[in-house]
Amino acid sequence: MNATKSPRRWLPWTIAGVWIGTALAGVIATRVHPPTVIAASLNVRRLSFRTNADRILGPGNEEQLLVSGVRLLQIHMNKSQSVDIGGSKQQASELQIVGEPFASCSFYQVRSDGFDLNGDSVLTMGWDQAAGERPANASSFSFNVHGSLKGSLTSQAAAGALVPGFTCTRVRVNGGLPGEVESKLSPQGGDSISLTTFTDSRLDFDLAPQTDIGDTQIPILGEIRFWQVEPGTEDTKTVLLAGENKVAFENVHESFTLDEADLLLIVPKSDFYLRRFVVKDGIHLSLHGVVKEVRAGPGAGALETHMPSLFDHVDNTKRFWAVILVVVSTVIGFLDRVRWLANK
Amino acid sequence: MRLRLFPPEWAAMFDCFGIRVRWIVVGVFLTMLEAYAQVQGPKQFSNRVEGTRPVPTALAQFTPIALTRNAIHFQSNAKLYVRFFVPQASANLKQRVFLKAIERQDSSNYFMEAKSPPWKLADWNVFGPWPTRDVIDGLGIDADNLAVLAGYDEDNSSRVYLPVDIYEDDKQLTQHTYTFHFIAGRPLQSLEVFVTNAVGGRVDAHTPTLKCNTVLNPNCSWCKAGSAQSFTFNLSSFPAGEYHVRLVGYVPRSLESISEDFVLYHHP
Repeated sequence: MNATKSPRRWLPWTIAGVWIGTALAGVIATRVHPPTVIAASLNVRRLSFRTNADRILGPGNEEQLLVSGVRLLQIHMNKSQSVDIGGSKQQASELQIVGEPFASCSFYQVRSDGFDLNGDSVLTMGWDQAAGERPANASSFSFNVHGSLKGSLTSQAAAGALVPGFTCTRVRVNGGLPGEVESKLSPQGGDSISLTTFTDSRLDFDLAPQTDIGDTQIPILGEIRFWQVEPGTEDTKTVLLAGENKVAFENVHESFTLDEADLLLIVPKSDFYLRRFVVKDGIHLSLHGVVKEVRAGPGAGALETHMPSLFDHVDNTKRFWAVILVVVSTVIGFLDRVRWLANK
Repeated sequence: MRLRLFPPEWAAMFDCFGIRVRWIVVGVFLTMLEAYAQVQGPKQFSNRVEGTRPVPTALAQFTPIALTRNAIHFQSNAKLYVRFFVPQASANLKQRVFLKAIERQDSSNYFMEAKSPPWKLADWNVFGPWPTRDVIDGLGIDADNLAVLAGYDEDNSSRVYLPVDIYEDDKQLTQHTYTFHFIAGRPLQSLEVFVTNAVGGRVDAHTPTLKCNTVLNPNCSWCKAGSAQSFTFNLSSFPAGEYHVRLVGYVPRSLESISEDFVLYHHP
């Protein structure tokens, strides 16, 4: 008796449970946003991030490279030059210059070969709209580093009104008193300069026309906010520039395009890279990796997640689930056929 | 025959699972609490608010970030004090005195704002202790990268800056020159600094000439937009009072110039 009634009793509950469970799972799946892989192409005027990269920036020619926070500078000149040290002239072919706090140096007509970073660093890159009248294709680029930086430069030959040389302020030359030092470098180029900076330094590049500065494969460790705060008002303003600003979610084959006035927040999870950046009418970024969160919106208080939900991920793998359904129904059908279920 | 949804060993497992769920809920709650604590950058201390928050990065012509006289090169775990003189001005001045700190070159979005104690008028005020281990050491902020600015807002909404001494021990107070730190809003080829007294008389404060080498590059920049710069000047031989520091900057590749006037109260 019991054996015949029991199925009727639990069957409605099971069916209701399946429906409710499915609905609940659906609701939860739309609310849960698991980490996913993104590929983002953005054009920005500023970008700040933490990295453990060992080396940054590829080779490039600079009309002027301004380095703030110089700790140590060694200059080897091919020929002896007249060096102005604190107002007095000296002939020298080798200089050892030690920076005081807030020391800065400008290098003219030089080529940089990239810079070494020591341990985790916070990098802030900035592209500045040209000041005054500038030749076509010229650009200006700044690079703030929280972390020690090491690099080497090679002077280039003089070109028109541009003469290779350097000036430094708040420095000691060969153990002397702090002051200024400046000198031309060999007109034919080829002098070598090695520099090390304090923990906080800044590089400003005046790039020669037709020179692209950039790099590839830079790991990013922390979140990236694509906005800045205006002084006085404390208002947040976007750092996106005109161009194709797009974020694609590779696993679910979805993407969204950002308005250039939108704010954007990306929170990496793992293996997140600045795959490539190039400075040309802005900083063109290609970002790739696993993220925990991507939020965008018209204002700081209206940032909304664009992360695909678990439902999207499941939906994207529907062929896989369809196969499981087919296998399960086949197994059940087989068991029913051999009356295994009835025996239970 | 009664059909059972679960065999007995499954039921036991679900009982056990119920206990685990409670632990999972507790774990999730603690994780959220920890995450909340991490997100909450600013920390409240008895004499100050200190932590991290986005700082202004877009630029005015010149943005003052520090005016210091003595600024020691402290090591980690230092206990700092900040001393500054507040002049006798309007009665409600006490509420409008500020003391704040940021990074000279921002990398951690650090800030500190002193809570308003009853600042003493016409007297030296000492803010502290300000232990670096609370926040500064954790963020890895170097002594040279700490910018401290004090001042007050006058009734007519103009701002007067007060030079500060930063020290651990008052025996370290030996400097007499002032260092003015600012962020330039434009790239500049040169910067001229003029100091005048309250009645507009020119003061020889040994201001430096700040310019790049136009022989090497006619379009050179002495500083770039957004970079922190500084210069020193000396008012030690002049009487106490308000002085005006006027900055005039010249933009490269252009006939354009930018200027701004800052008021400071000098107390020898």
